[in-house]
Amino acid sequence: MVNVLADRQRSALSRLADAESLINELILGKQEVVRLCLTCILARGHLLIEDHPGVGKTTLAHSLARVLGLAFNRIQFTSDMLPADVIGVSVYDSERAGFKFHQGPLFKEVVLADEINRASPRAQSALLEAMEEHQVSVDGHSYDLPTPFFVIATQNPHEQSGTFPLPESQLDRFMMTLSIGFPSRVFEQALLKGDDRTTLLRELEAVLDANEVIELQRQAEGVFASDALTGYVLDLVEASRNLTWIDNGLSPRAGLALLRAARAFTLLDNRDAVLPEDVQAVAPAIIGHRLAQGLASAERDALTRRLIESVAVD
Amino acid sequence: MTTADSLDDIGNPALGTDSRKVYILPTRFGMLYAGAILMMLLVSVNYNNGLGHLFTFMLVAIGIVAMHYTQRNLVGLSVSIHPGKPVFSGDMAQGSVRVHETRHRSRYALWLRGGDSQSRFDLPADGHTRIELNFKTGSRGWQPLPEIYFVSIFPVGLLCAWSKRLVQGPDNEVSQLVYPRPAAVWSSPISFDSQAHGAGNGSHADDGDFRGLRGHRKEDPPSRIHWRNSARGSGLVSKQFEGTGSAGICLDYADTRNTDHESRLSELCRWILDADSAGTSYALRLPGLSIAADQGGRHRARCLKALALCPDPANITQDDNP
Amino acid sequence: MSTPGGHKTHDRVESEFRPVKPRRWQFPQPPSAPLEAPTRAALATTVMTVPLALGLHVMYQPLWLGVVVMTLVAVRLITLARGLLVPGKLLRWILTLAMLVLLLTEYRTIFGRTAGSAMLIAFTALKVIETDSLRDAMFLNILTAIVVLAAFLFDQSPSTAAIGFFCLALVISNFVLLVAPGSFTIKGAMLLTSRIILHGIPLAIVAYVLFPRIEGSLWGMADDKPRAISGLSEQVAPGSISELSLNDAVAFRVEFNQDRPHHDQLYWRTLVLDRFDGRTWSRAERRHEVFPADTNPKLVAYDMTLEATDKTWLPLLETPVSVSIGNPLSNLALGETRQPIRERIRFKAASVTARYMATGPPDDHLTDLYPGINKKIIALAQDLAGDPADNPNAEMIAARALELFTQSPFRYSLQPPLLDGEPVYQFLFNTRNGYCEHYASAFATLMRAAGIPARLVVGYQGGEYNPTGDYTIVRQSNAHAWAEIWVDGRGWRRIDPTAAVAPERVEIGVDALRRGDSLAGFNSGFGTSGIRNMLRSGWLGDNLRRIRHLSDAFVYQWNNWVMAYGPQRQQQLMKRLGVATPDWPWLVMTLTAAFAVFMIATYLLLSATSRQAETPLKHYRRFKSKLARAGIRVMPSEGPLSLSKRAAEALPDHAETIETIGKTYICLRYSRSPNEMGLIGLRRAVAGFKPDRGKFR
Repeated sequence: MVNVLADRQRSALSRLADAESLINELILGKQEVVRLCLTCILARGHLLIEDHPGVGKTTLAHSLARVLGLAFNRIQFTSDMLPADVIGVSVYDSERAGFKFHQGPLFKEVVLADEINRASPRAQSALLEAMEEHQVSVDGHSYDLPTPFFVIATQNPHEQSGTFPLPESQLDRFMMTLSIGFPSRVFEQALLKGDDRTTLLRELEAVLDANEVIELQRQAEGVFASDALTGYVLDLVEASRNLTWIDNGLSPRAGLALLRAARAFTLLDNRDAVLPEDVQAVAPAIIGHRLAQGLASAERDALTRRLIESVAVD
Repeated sequence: MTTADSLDDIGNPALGTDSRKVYILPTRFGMLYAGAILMMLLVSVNYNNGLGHLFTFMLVAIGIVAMHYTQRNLVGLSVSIHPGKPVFSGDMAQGSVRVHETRHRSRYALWLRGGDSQSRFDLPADGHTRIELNFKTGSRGWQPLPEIYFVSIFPVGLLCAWSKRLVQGPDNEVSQLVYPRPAAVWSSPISFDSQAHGAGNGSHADDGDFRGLRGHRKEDPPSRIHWRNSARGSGLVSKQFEGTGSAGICLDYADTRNTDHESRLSELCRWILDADSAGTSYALRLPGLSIAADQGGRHRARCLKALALCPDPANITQDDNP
Repeated sequence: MSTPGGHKTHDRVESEFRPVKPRRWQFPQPPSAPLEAPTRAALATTVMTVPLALGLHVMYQPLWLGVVVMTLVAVRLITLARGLLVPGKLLRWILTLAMLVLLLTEYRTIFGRTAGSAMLIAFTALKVIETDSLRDAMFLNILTAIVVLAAFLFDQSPSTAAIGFFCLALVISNFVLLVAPGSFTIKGAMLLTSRIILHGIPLAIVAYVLFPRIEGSLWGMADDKPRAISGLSEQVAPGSISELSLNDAVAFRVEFNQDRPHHDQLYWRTLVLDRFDGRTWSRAERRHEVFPADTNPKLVAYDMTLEATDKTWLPLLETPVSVSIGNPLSNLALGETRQPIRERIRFKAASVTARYMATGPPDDHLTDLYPGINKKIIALAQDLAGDPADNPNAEMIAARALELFTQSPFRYSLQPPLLDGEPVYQFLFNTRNGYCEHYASAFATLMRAAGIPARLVVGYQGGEYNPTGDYTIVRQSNAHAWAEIWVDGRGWRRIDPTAAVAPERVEIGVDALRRGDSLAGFNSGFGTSGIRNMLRSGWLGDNLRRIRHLSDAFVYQWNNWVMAYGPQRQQQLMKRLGVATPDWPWLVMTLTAAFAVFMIATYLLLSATSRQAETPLKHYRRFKSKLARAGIRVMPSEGPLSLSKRAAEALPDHAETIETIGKTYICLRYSRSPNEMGLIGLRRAVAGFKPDRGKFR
């Protein structure tokens, strides 16, 4: 595929490839997940990771932030958490005789919201609202969140007691749901033999900066999607609505997310026009949680695979 | 019951049709047109009228060309038929038909007829459309989708071309799932309280009568795993109890008041609906099948599907019914 | 239910419960045609087509019918525009009855061409006012087509045909608008219609040519009042031919099979008149055998297309020997049909250019003089005959008479003065100014007075050659009269006194004469204005004449192929095409074969038209089916990039082609600026992609 991009952009893009390989050196054997993570950032989406503890969620989020040159914060959600603990609080400042807003941990470019389902619905919705609106409102004042702004939320699907599973309607706020899964034996061995991840993480260098990420996001939006391709996306969405046992098929928002993510994915693959394959590559992560809540990830994958296979494409 | 069953409900994309069987016959107008042509020919012959002959033969030629056009309007559509969401026996089901144009030409005034619906649509070149297919359902179970006809009298209305589509394929792809008709409310003698009470005996999982073992499934709580058997290396085995679910009621086939199989299923259907609307968690027990207590739309759908497909125990030999 | 296979058992139970579906093949039952309420636009175009078709009948129907019909159509159009209801049933019945009564009063019958058409028109108009549903509208359109056909019975001219076929196109486009309401604009429907008609034209023409034509009519043509047609009449009095000299109407057209005879040989004998009462020549009822008397005559064969005359006689070139229509030639060497010629006919004839026509000795009455003939005429005749002792031969006497006409102040004029009293006397001794009938009449009288059997012949002389169509047009203005005298021992000989007086008339023809090219002297008599003169001669005139030739050639071919195309012409055509015996069975079989060919051709043509819509998708699908044939599993949900990658791996021999196809296709279908030339490349690459199953590992 011939790619005619300006030099400066090309370098940003090629450095993005460097960044990707750096992460892959850290998170072994999870190229697809890393690729989808980057896709999600470039598509200005947010990510929900559902998996067991210890598979490298934090490492993934942290390394992502490091190589992209973005500020990182981690919020460990607990059941006693208040919205203010997430978004920040206004405190009376006697010196200036007024309220001063103290930014919460959310005011970072990459935020890892760990074990989001442990938090109370109030705290959850504060986070989700902020994600949706890209700003927080406290005492009638709005405070913009940084740009780019990327939330990686995690939840442990197997731990149900004392949790507040995210309501179905809120799941739609996440562009993608991924599960990392255990590494294969070879990679796990490499993991065991290799250096400590924390050390490696600390050694990671920023390859890009925030402005370049914004530029790449803009570039991703400009990736061309022909009528034939949007037609295919529509076909997929429509086919999902024909599923008889699901109450609702994909929403128009899901269709938009699908196309946006496919564009970003195309950019990552260094091409300039979206192909059906790009849509198919991002579809499971985007469709799964929207269509089949409460299913194990393997079942979701099976479902999306069936859905994709049921739609013909040329 | 795993989701694999439910996944089968995704339509049947492979029902591509190469409408080779397109029949064509004149319409009433076509007959009239033919009559007019005959008359014109007689007049032209009688008056030895050259122009009349030419005019008459032009009409004949148009009729023949129109035949090609009419047939062409139907050929090369790719059709897939999808059953609708399950409905109760006797209700109207709403399936859908997707039609793709595959020959790069626009189609006009196509009619789809099937079941109780009839609709007209146009198709742009290479375009596609989705048409609702309403039909009345009969008894519970898999009901084959109605035959559908594509009919067209385009372009001149003198000829009618039609193509009949028979749906073939596995049941869960081309058949409509029909739930039993729920019994009328008054026919349910068991009030909800008494139901809960009556089923209360077995309502606590570990207190319930031990029923048997089965392969472990993901949704089984770890407390149900029969560790002793599992340790023998035959894979995880879960215990099963008569009364299922940790809470809620058990809707048991045996508790129904009717004696007739179908009526019993209707009654159960009513109970499921009532329990569902009451927000109670409920389990279902049918001859040869039981579903653990749960609630929500998917559970309800699963239970109702089980009712819809429940064989009459009287018709099944002992061997078939473990 | 205690093993993992438990739910499989359940599945089996499900399948047992599947209702048995009938899979028996049944004869296809046609569903009833789907009907939709027509749009108002479709109704309006349907209603508006009707007056166009009815307009073709205006000339042939009483005025009141036209007014009534147009009123009804207008009423319907207004109600349609206003969205009003159609008139009630009672009103329609009253209208119908009123129409019926009026028509019966007018025609006293409902049969026949004119009355039948009137009934049809009235019925159509009544149908118009009640047309509201699809069924009515379809019916009305079919009726409109019948109305057009009825109009063709009255007039088959190209202009009528054009309007009629335009009506047909409108009818078909109305069908389209009615059948697919809302899908088409009127323009779109017309476009589709023209495509349908274009596809249909070949079949229509083949059927037209091959459909067996029969002679005569099936049930007779009931009414059909003869129309007044100007032309030759059975009697010739002074002025009866000259009055035709300004009549430009075509009498007939002739196509010579060999070289065209010289202009002065073109004498089209039509009638022989042998009774003269001093003013009028008329026919006698005598029949004799006639044969050309020359030993070595030259045969001239030709095809004639004769306009309707409402008479039975045929103008044939002197001396006719055979004619393909009507009775055998009469004793007077004249052709005649059994019935009056009401339509244009076409036939073959052959003549020989002989000097004499022989027959038995002429009747006595051929020397009869009219009662009360002026003695001066007889004296003049005897003077011409000279001394009987010299035993003058008839040809010599005739030569002397012609000499008289050329020498004395005899003048040839297209507008001779009127002759009172005894025309022959007045002409010979007073006015000495006349047209052909004056000269011929006077000459024949002189011959008879000299004792030589003589008679008058009327017909046409000359003709205008149309180089565009290679045929000769003979108009009514070519009408001519001449004389024939009996030469003892030889036979009848034609003498044309006009040729002696005004040789130009015969040499170059009356048209040239009227153009004033050579005979300036006639201009005054003709009374042409300056502008007309200018038009008749010079560059402008030449071009106008060329255009006239062109349009006449068109009309002539039209007449040949449309109006005069009957059994004879069909046979001729078949013979020319090399069919030895074009009989009925042959025609029917050929026609059937042509139908079959047409069906296949149309089918192929139509699939070809759809093939013209060339899209990358089409080539890609072909590529996919080729892959499938090569044994590669092609999944419908697989995108082009992964498919081409997989295929290239599976078929390494074709990897390059496959990659090209994949790249080009992706570029064409998915990229921002698809290269138009890529389509050609894709087509070539797909065509050149020939995976061989045998090589597939």
